[in-house]
Amino acid sequence: MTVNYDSVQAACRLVAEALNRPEGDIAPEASIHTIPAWDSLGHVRVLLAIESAIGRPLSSDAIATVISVADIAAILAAEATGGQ
Amino acid sequence: MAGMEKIRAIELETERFSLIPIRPLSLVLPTLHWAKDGDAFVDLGWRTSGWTARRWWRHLRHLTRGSRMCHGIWLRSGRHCIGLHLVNASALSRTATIGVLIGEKDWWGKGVVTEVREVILEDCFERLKLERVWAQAQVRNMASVYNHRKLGFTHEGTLRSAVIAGDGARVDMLVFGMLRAEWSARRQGVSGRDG
Repeated sequence: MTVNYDSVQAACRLVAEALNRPEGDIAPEASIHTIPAWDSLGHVRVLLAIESAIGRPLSSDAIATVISVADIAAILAAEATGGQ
Repeated sequence: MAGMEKIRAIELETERFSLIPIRPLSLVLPTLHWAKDGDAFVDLGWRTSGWTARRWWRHLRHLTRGSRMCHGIWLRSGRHCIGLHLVNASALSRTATIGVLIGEKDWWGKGVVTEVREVILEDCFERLKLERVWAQAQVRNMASVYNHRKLGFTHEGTLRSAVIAGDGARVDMLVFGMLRAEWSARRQGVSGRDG
């Protein structure tokens, strides 16, 4: 699975919308450790937005490990190529 | 760690909260409504219904016995108890499981857990000299998952269909752990493992 430019952009957009931030505020290397608005409630919104985007619940391991834009991009890229 | 059979909880302070070892009898009535609600009890493996004042008192007392310590989370302004933090240590392995309950729902999503856990972890690793601290979170409790990852805990595994959620469905439990070395590295500003 390859994380491409499109999936990174989509991940940035997803995080920006979930956290109600301008898309330009969310860098590809952003994570829960770098964005103050990415708090616990924001994290719930981010995870639910991912589930909405892929059309099904995230696996337990995915819920446990997603903490960054890169993690989200990997999920979106995997989804685009046929499986998480 | 000497004397682990009965660890002694001490008062701790954060920016917003005082963490005070609980006195079960005085805490029963002010916190009984947490037990009546029960929403926040699933991650702790506690029953979510059927609590009486006597049963709640006995449970609170149990949380302070032997190798357990339990802190009340008190607002520094107003002296109101909003939750509990639990540590259950093992002398043999020098490890501890931890759990937290924010009983006052007005305080959910306000960074209480990460603020409290910072000083609890310091107490576990620096004063009690533990080697490992670990915790569990119900998989759909995404805020709890966030709190563990934010503090630098590593996801160590998933217990499948391990507990029954409030809606009666069986759900997975996630196991998060932190080692002394990871704690030290994090304190020194070196990022710990994220994966």
